[in-house]
Amino acid sequence: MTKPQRFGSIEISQDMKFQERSWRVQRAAWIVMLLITLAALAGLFGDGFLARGSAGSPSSALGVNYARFTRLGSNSVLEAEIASASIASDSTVRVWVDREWIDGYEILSITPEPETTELLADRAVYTFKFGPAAGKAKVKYSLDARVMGLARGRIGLDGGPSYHFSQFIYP
Amino acid sequence: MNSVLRATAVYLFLLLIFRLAGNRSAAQITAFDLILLLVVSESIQEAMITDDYSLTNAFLVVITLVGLDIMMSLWKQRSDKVEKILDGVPILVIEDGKMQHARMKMERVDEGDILSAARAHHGLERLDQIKHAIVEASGGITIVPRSKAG
Repeated sequence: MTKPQRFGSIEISQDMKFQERSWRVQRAAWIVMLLITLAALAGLFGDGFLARGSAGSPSSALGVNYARFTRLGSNSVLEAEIASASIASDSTVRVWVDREWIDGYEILSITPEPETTELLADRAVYTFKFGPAAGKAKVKYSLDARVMGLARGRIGLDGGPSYHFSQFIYP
Repeated sequence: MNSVLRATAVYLFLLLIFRLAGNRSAAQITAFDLILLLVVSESIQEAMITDDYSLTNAFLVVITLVGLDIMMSLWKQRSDKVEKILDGVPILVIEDGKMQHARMKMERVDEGDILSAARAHHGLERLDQIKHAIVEASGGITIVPRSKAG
């Protein structure tokens, strides 16, 4: 117990200097809490406009949407939009992602389901089949992060463009 | 290992948040505060346990939390400074019959709160019957009535 002092007739361990400092700290902390809440609404911790990252464009060969911020154990989505011009004559599309990056995730689902999955030293290649009139083809990876921190990913089309992207995964 | 780290993070986070929220938030528990407390425990629970519902995990979490609490109490006993930081200090909001308005404002205590404490514990009717009113480190308001104090 802090040593009590005497104020008038009462013995009490009041400490106004400490008290005033802690009031200041408290008020500052309230502002910080407010800022954190606002940042969370904006998506700094995932799930919001700050968290939406994209690369390439769907009008070119490949457009990618990824989560810039996500959290350990929470779901995120990686979307690849493939222009119809990039679909091969046998109506397949081969999309690859960086192995090291995808190993940091548990893949919950891939829509549509790939025909084949091929693991190479540095990449995982997924072959999708699209009907002849599919127009723009869209592939969606539903992911669950298993590793926290900065993750650098790369996604590309076999024989086409590829894009680097980086994500931050909160604990 | 993970459950110990998680429980430690949760303990420290809650300690920080409730200390920063101020004494008043913890002490004068209204019905709504009680509900809030339940919701807080519910929201933190899953992050602490994650997907491991084993007894071992639950026991490890409990031992960690209780252990940290014991450690903190030992540390507080050895150091005044730590005790002040972790628990806060009592503060006189009525000193010798004089109301300390600035302190009351910062502690978010008003005359009504003081009168309510005076009624509850001493059956006092008016502010002028109060010699000292203290917002304790625990957040409660204690009253020293005029007649009884020397």
